[in-house]
Amino acid sequence: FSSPVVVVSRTARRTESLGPRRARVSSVAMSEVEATLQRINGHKGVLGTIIVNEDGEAVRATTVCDKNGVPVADQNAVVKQMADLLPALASMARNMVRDLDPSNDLRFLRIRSKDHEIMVHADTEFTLIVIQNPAAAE
Amino acid sequence: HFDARGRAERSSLAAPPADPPVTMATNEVEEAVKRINSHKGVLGILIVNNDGIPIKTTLEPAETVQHAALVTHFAKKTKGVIKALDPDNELTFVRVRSKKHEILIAPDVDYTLVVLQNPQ
Repeated sequence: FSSPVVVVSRTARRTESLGPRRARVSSVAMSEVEATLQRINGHKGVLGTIIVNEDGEAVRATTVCDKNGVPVADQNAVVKQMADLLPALASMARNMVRDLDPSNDLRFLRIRSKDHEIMVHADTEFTLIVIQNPAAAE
Repeated sequence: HFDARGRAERSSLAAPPADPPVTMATNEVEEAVKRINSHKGVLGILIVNNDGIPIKTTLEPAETVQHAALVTHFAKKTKGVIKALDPDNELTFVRVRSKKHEILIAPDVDYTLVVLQNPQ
């Protein structure tokens, strides 16, 4: 799994002072985001990618499929659920790491289950979630 | 106790004794722990039971207690998330990668195996 997506730099945010939160992102940064998402999603075995902002809203999501490549029936529900549950879990992982050693910090979280592997990279502004086939990791 | 057809009904007397719980022989556990521990980069191994009590460890006592509590709690939460996403799915493995090392968590029915390793 390649290095985390740097979706919006702090400077890009500052250039947009008006408009709804989502419009803060400059159009140049957004196309980079799109390109990166497509690149990740194009990897063999990737079943879906979701970007969640700091408010817990999924700002970008590709079609989420099950391990047979069939798109999940209720896309909105599954994206919303993951956007609700996974950033919180990543926070818990971060707290656990810091409780064990205050100078340490969470880098990455991989949750593997029977049906898929969920990879989470969380930073202060965004959480990137990638769902892949559990066998793809081999 | 027999029902109308003469078949023995289930009763604690008639039923065969329940299978004894599957337990790995102690030396098998020792072997596995030794094998994992001898891998390059492994910093320590911990096995906790379902109550979070450490039953085998290669870490120092203080570290053991700390890790047992925090990792068990986190593993439970993670299991909960997977079940919430899909009740038919099951957690098989978790990797928590931090700046300094990686915590591998392998939950099983009765025990959870935790390995700390230096990521390479």
